[in-house]
Amino acid sequence: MFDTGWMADAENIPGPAPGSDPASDAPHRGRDHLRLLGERVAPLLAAHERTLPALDPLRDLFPDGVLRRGWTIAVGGEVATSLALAVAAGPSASGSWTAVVGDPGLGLAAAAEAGVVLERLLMVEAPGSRGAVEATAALVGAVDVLLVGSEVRFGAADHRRLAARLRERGSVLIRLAEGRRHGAGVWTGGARSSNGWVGGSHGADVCLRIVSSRWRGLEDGWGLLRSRRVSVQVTGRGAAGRPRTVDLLLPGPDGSPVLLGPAARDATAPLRSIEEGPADLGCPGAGDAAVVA
Amino acid sequence: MSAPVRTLVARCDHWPVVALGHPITEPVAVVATGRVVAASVAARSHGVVPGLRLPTAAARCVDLAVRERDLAIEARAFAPVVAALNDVTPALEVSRPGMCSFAARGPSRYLGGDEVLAEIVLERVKQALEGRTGVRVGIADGPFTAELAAELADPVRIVEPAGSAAFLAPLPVRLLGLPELTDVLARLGIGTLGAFAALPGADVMTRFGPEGRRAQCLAAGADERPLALRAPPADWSVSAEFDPPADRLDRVAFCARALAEELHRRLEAVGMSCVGVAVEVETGEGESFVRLWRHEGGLSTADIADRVRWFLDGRPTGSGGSGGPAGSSGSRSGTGITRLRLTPDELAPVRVRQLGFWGGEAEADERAARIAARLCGRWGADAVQVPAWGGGRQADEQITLVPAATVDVRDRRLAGDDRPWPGRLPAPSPARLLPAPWPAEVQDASGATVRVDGRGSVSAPPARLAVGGRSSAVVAWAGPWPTEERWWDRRARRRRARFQLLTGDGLGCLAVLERGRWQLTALWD
Repeated sequence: MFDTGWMADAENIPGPAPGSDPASDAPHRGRDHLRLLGERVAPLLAAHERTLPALDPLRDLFPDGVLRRGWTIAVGGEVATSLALAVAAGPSASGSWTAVVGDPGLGLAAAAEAGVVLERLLMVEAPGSRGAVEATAALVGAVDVLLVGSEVRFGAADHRRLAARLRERGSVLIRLAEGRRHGAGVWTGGARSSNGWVGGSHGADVCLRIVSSRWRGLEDGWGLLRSRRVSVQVTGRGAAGRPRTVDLLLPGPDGSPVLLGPAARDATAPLRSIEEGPADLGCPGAGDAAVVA
Repeated sequence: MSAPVRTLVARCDHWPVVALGHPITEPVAVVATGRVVAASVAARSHGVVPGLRLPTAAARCVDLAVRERDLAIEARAFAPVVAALNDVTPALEVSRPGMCSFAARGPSRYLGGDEVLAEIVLERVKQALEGRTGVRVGIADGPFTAELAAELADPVRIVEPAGSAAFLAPLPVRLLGLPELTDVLARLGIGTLGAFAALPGADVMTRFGPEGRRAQCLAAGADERPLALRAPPADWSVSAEFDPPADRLDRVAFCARALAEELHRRLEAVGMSCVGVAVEVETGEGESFVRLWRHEGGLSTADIADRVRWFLDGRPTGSGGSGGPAGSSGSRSGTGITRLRLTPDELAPVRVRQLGFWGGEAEADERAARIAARLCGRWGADAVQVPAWGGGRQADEQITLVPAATVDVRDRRLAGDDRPWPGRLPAPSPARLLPAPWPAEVQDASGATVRVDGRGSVSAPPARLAVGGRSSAVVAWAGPWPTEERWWDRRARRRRARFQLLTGDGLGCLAVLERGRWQLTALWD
């Protein structure tokens, strides 16, 4: 069951300099072997530990298809909540804990549909202007993923401290951008910045922004909101720097995100199949089978 | 077929009356759902018998005092009787308040025979009752026969081993307590248990089914029902007295920790942990306050000490002045705490957690539980909440939040909501709920507010949605999906019509029309 093949490699690792007294050096030699072995194995473990998995459809958003521990991810645009939930869902589904700070209106049913495991979710509501900032700082390291609501304001100093703490403790911070516009013209806090949303992207490693979105399924007097086609624009620093756009169904027909393939991006044909949903969608509960297989 | 267990039954007469504190010489009737369930001796002499309807009973005895039945009081009042028998037998079954039974073979051998045992039990129970009512004791094979023996005893009736059938034979069938069966038997001309027992078993099985056959076995004195044995509840409570009275919170809290440790040691010794703990304090003025705390995952020593502290911190003052008697604000003579008592409330076997093979997940769970506790300590119990399935039609009802302090964060299993809720909106669910719904205005093409009539039809298709002074065009919509909830409750009833609206600028929202007013309650954000 346990493949101990690598143990044999231990024999090939050069020990201490030849010629030393084998009797007195025996314990040292063992320890050196262990140390060398440890060094050989360590990067491998760390590579795995330095990242958190992303949901399959979201892999194109991130370099190497994974979330790097210590990242701050800013999510903006008009329909950012679903995207933030989808980003959080990857680590959550693979065993990480998620904490939501300062966002009491988060739709937990939608979170569950996106793939967030509710058993490993803490909803934190700290009172006072500094409460949320303090709570966020305390949660770094204790949970793998932090989802911070757009109402929470971080100063520039807070950002720096948080970023350092995130890198040290290896959590990922997902930030709903401040001053997002809620469709019908209602602004929830935050000043409108020159290009509309960047308030929360300050100092972020990865910025995800929804540049266009289009709902399917709801018609004039019948149907249901079924799925939404969005284009996500990715910008960022360092490895995440290459700007690109990814098309997704977010949420997909069952609430979880679906990647639209290159074919779908070019042609409208696959999208039409979404529009041709079952005709009996007129009332809730009827025909909610997945339309996109 | 195993032999019936030799059983002793002790029953106290008129227990519902006695337990409520009435002497049996007063005319008292205890009623439940409008019928007399017990009557005192004096009431019985006027013809008030169990089973009578209340008006009839009141007509028969003009000065009849009527009390509502209270099973909790009956059970509590019976506790001294049970305690009095605890050294006769370790395993006592309280069949109902006022009647208890136990397996008689062991105690009988030990004490020197059924007669001696019956006398001892009689004496003990009489002492415990202090002459408030009579007690009768019956010993026989099987609880059913023993109960009948006790009912017919004066005050002791012992049915010889293997003599059950002969004892039961002349008794009327109605004592089986199965009115439907005994009615039929009476019409068949079978009036006694003996006659019933003499019928061919196979025929009784065919005619009356398994239940009838079981009743026939009882009538024949073959009673296989084992006694439900329950160990007497041990007193696990621990207490400490303060002399002079403790007037500072930290002194009590410090002592609480020691008490909690002792409690844990005692429970650990039997492999139990407590889910709830009752904290009771007595003040120098003789007042006593109790508060029950519970936690699904079991309470550790530190948890208990914390709860004592919270209790003392938040306890409203007993007699005048602000701030608790033990508040850190200072001391006042005579109002300190003289006694602290911790009683474990619900005992459960110590939970053994299955740890992940490499420990990773368990460690993450522990970290999450620790940070939840820490944040709760900083901002109060409501600062950290965890989701729980609620069930319901509305988006905000399906998953609710409960304080993390009340559940075991580390090891949760949310029951999947696979039950159907007709009328709930299918996936995808809205990603943003509006705890305070946004007042909105939904207008048709002519600018009039859209209405829904009693039949659920829309006055005109929605054309514009106005929220917070901004208006945008509705490009797609569906509904109304009416819900009428809790229509049986005048105050909680809600009648709502829900719409999905999609505006020109891409906002998908759930609009609700209730009492003529439009609101947005959720956004597909």
